[in-house]
Amino acid sequence: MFILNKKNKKNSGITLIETIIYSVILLLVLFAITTTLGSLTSSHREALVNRLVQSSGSVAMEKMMREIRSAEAVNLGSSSLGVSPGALSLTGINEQTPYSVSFNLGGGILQVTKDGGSPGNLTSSATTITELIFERLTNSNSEGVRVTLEIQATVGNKTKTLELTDFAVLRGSY
Amino acid sequence: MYKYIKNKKGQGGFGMAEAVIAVSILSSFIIVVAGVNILYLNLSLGNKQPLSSSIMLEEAIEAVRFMRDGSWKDNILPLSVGTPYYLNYSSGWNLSTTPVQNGIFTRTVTFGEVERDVNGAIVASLGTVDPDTRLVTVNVSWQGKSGATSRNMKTYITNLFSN
Repeated sequence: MFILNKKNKKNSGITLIETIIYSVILLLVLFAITTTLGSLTSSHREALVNRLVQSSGSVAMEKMMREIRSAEAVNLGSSSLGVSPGALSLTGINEQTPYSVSFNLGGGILQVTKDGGSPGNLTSSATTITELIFERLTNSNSEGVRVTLEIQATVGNKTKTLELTDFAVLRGSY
Repeated sequence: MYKYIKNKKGQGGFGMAEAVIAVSILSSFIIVVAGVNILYLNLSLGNKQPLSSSIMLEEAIEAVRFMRDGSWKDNILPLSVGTPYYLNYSSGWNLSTTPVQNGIFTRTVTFGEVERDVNGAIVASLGTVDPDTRLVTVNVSWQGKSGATSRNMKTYITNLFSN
């Protein structure tokens, strides 16, 4: 009888309390993994959306500033200054050859046009330019252009807006 | 019979406790790897300020250049050497000692005297102060995730138009 009891006890398996404890531990582990993977996805989206606005914003600003610095004058007739979306048309001379370059928005994308040719995109189609303002400043010796650019991108539920302002003096105006 | 029981017992596989421990160890590994990845991503996200700060530095140098073009005598010469000025834009550029906050950034412009030797070369000391040249130092500072951060840019400006 004693032997039988002992044998039964050995084969009794796991108790209800043990099952509950193990289940709780597994649920906690599952919760931790779900939370961590959720954070990871969110961070990835944020990194991607940041990269989109920064790379497009950086390229757009750098190109515009370089062209403004190289230019001789702002073509006032072809520019929309002080408004958004604005347009900027510049003229200059490169190796004794006159040229023109203009920046404007097309479908939320910043476009550059050189010598009246086909416009080329400066910002990614995954981003949208929500504000573009060109302001012209002049003094007795030079003129400059201040650019305000607001760029936005959305990935999943993450939206990032970056506003950049920069200013450059037209070296050709000296 | 005894043999049979022993074999059966030996082939019993994992117990519930072993399975829970195994899952916990594996999960901990996944969580640690994911956590490191999140930390890396967050640190890289904190890297977004250099773009804005670089543009702000560049903008300030150009603004000072534009003010110099306008009038050295009126816009640059009256500014005290060594005093941090704040750049402000309101239909034009101006420098004042009233603090200006640009979002999370604080930008200052400081002018320094420049000394030249008898040959006209710029020297750090023992030269003659050149009233038509200034050392412009632009500083942009902000509170980053890893504490206060700042960047600066220096350049010389001269009274190019003798005005």
